[in-house]
Amino acid sequence: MAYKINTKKCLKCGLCVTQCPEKAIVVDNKVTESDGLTLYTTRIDPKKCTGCNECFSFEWWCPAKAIIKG
Amino acid sequence: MAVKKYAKYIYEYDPKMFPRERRPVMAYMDNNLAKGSNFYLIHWILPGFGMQKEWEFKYAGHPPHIHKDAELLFHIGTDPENPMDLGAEVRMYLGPELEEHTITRTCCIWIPPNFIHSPWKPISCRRPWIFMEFNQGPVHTEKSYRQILPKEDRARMDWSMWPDDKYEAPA
Repeated sequence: MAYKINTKKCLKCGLCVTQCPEKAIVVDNKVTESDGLTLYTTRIDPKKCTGCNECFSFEWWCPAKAIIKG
Repeated sequence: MAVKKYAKYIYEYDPKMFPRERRPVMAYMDNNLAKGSNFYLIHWILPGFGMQKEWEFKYAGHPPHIHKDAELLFHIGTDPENPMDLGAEVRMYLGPELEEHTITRTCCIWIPPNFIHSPWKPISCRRPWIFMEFNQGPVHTEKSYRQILPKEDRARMDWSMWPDDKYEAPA
């Protein structure tokens, strides 16, 4: 099962990067905005993703529900 | 007088613990104070609280955020004749869509782990009432989601008031 990030829903919070137990979600770009908030463009590396399903282990694992299967 | 053996289990809030605290806190507890305790914060909401002139715009107030652990937000009215009447109106936004709710009754709001919630802001208050924040984790954690606010509202807030707390940033 492949996992993807829906870039339209993603809020660029970067939480998935620190939560993924396989370190399979990586940062492609990082921007710090004028009020100090840092936003991250991320993607799932299919070579590292083991399909462990941790990212669906509870309803709001991704606060934007931006991770999709398939 | 001899100190009683179990007096160590009775805690009174010490305002010196949090010199920057602005709210009229009545009680506080977390794992740092008592090993094994979760995070609890209880304070009054008095008429005028959160209703300052500079917060007179739609998404003013404690900005959208998440916590690592589930949270219970108790809104407790204080009229003994009508305890379910909050005696106040509170505007609360839930979810990444900022779904708007107005709280006017005594209630508890369940916030699942990582669920985006707030702004939270009292918009009227006829009598003092009690706000209780119970967290299912040992200490307070918080991560801001102010990126979901309209730019004009975001630009009006002082973000130093709500720093991220115990959320690791990606490398």
